[in-house]
Amino acid sequence: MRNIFFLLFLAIMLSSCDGDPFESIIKLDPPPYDKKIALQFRAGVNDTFVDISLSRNFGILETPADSAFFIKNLNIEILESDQVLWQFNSGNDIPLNRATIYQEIPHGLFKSGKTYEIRASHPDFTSISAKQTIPEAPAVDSVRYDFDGGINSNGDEVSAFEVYLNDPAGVENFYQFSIGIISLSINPIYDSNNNVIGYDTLRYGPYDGYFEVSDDPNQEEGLNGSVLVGDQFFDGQAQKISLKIYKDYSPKEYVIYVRSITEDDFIWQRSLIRYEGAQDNPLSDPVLIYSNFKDGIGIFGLYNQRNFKVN
Amino acid sequence: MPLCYTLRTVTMRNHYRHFLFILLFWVAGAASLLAQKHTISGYVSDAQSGERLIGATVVDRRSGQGTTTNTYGFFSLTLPADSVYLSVAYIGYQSDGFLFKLAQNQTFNIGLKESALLKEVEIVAEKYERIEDRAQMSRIDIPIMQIKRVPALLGEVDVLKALQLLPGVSGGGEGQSGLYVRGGGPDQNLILLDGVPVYNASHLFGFFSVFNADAIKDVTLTKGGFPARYGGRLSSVIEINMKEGNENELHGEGSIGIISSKLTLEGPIKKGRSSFIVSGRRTYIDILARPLIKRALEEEGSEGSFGYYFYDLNAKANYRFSEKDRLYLSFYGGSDKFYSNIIEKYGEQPSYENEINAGLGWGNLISALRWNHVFSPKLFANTTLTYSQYRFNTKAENGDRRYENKVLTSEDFISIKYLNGINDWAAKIDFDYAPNPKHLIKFGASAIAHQFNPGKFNVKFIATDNNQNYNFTLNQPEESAGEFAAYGEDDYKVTSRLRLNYGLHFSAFTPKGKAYFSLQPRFNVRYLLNQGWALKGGFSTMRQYINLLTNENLSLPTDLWLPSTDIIKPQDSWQAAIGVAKTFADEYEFSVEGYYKEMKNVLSFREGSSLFQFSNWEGRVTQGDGTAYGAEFFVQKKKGKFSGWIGYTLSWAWRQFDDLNFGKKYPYKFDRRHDFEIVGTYKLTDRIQMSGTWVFSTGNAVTFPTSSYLGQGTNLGYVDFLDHTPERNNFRFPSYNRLDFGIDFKKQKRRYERTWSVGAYNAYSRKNPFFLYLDSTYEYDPVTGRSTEKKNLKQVSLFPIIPYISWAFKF
Repeated sequence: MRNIFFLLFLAIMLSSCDGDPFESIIKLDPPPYDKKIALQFRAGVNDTFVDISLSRNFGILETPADSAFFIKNLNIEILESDQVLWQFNSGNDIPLNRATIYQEIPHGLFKSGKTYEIRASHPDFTSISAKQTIPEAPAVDSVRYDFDGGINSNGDEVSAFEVYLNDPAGVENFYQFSIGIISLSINPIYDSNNNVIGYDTLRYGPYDGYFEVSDDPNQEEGLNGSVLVGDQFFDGQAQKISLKIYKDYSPKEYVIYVRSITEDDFIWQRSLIRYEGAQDNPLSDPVLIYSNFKDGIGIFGLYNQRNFKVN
Repeated sequence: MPLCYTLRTVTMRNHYRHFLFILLFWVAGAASLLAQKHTISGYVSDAQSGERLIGATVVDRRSGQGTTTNTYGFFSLTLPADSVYLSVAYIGYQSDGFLFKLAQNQTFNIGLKESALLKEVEIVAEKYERIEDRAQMSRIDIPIMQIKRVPALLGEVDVLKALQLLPGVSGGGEGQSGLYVRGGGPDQNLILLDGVPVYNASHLFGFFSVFNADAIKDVTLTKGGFPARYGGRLSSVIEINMKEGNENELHGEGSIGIISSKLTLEGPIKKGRSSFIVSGRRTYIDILARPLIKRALEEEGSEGSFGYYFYDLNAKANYRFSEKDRLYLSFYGGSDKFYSNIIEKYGEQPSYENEINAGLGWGNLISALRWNHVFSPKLFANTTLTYSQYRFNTKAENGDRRYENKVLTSEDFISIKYLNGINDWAAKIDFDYAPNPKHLIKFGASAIAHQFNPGKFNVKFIATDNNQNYNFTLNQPEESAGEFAAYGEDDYKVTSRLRLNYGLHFSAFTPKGKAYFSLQPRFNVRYLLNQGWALKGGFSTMRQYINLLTNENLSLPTDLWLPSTDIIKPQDSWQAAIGVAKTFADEYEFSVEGYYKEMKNVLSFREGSSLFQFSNWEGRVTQGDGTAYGAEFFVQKKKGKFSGWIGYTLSWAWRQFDDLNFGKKYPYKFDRRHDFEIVGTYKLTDRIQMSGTWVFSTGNAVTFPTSSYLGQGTNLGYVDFLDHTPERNNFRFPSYNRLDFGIDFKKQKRRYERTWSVGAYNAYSRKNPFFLYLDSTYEYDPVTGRSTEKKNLKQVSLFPIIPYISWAFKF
């Protein structure tokens, strides 16, 4: 009996030495998915152009050509109280960047306080829709600029912008702050003999700048270097939002863009930032990208923006 | 005085008054029943070793009144002045009986002899009172002898993994020793070693638990219907009691296994009065591999070493000052260490040296001083002073040095060290008061001083050429908090059919600038139906003040315990359970329980956050609610050549966080619809014993994208592929199943008994999932000159069949 057990044990020992003993990889079926329209449409009250990203989704294991993602001849409609205000067809041409169309819209298409619906349809897909109400313009008392804004946590010098908000009470408000930089450059003027005969001031921009990450619990990182703020901690109160950039000694002018955004847009931006942040961190909990489309994927976001020039 | 302070004080006073009133009510009520009665009290112990026996039954056969011994082997039974036939029984021991006239209070210290007929697991019989006798439900006791027979990964007997084989308890990932009880999280288990909390109960990233089975006497799991004496965690209490040591003779046991060896010695310090036990365990793969590593490094022109080991040391001593006083001193120290020190040398004149030194260490240190005192035959007290520490530290150092004529001429050196941990100092006192056979009253109080170290970084940088020398420390501030508790409970035999266990647990927690209070009612009832069926119900509320920041996939040593604060609220739960229980044919214990549990303020990382970030921890977590419900079926055979159990759990576990899954409810990662386990031991002959386990469970829930699309990323103007995941934990791992088996060959030698154990973990080499990933490969087509991407969803499995062999001795 003992010998039988010994031989059995030996057989097990030897069989476990096949291949890599501590890791094996087996293939699994992917989770099922539904074919859907994916649309990103974000616009503001005074906008005359809008970026529209449109695509379809493919299963996580499918590897179609990039050109297969764009949905040709997709109909998009903007409606107010079921009345079509504007419509658009994506046509047959695939955009250069594979998904985004830079499209003109009528000035004044979106008005403060109004509710709009977007519908997108295509014979091969289930139609999708979403609704948004444009928030009131942000109540900003003033914006101040302090060239000497102190030192950040890394010991670098910063400049600061202080935006004084008057948050309306009783409603949840969401804000987005961005910065545009108007660059000034003093360039020499040369004569035909390449001698400097004077100086000219050139003005470039504005181009987008990046705010520094803040430890203010009200602030979160938004798209493209912007800052998102929700009013959950200061509902109905005056609030100073302090925004910082690296100190730049060359002369500059700045435009601070203050937007009232919808809650859906706020959540979507936040989820997209967290999603991309988690891509490089294998220990991070997984992140879902928010969508507010019924039967579809993506975001319909509307905003109301004010601009403040400071120098 | 601020109004809020006044109100709080008044509320507190009301709580105290209410609590004291109930206590006095119990005591006074019970005392009125004492006329013409006398008390028999004493200890029940092993006659040979003097080891106190927990849960031995002491019954007067004439009146049918009885009790069981407590954690220290003490019993107290008050009976009418009359003839008494006292019967004392315990599993594996010959029952003893005493016939006498009870005319005054009497002390009996009873030593039971081990039974030759009932030895070891041939009959793992009823060590405790029958399941239908006790009021408390959702409690399971597993004899340590049975735990030692369960086949284990690499033959390393594991208490926590044995508990995973019980209904209502899930393990974490493949091979992990984490516990998830009735839909609760891994931080919601109170693991007590001799009454002291153990904060990190795992070695080697959770593949082994810190408990050395050779030093353990007893294990009890409570997963619901918590008696009032327990508090501080939401989901379970695991009580592990160490052996006390043989009072009369020196004995030892040990084993040599594939990854570790163990040695335990126990014996008298002063015969019949005091004893000790010392048990140590260490892995030795680092020692065995050292020559190979050295040679491999030398071949690469380097020197140094690297490796990993863990060790445990359990020690306990006790001294009996008198029949009424006994002192226990117990200690546990355990640690895991990864180390690497590699030096590379090159060049002649000048010569250069690069040294990389890295390490990772974590471990627990626990000590307890306990004093048992018998105030009167009816009143037993245990006073405990404890210290518990958990520490994690890591370091990475890199040094580049230049020597001319063996003299150091320049050096670049950088060192980063990190440390976190928790320290607890605690004092508590517990009383057992048995005024009469109908009541067993327990009451007590405790105070804990917690000190949390959320993380300390030290960075050192030296560059002699640039004359730079920096040394700075970044601290997340240490946090302190006091935790206080008081309780009172009564186990009340109302009639022969109706038995209650009810009580109140009060707790308070005082983190910086804040105070939390909680009054938690507990209630268990048993009603004996006809034909021996017991109908049971239980209700308990629990509160938890300390939280674990953890990765749910692996038991990482970086797990961080942190207090509730003014921002992070304490976790709360309530649980109700109902069930039936019965013992069939004196052999088969059967129970069915249904439960419903709600949890509030459970913790999770915010989406996109993780442990390895240096921002304030409170900003990285979010709190939400949890719900769990299900039914558990359990059949256990305790007698005969074949013993074991079958358990089945049908359950649901949900989470809902405002900040996760966009506020929608989602299944918990360890939501397992079905969980089935069979554990069996069979004694083939006197010398050969076989054991096996088979487990099956629904796969873990994981979050996995279902599709991808093109859209704008975080930088305006750039389009990228984005994953679409409809909801959190939307996908399931394949089901988990595994068969383990083991065989013991025992032989009595002249001076000792030896046992060869062989077996296999995952005997049919089931590829169980450890994690999933998306794999991309590119296939090149030489005709078109293009590469085509091919994606696969792949599952990584950790353990195929893992055989084990070990040799053990006992004298």
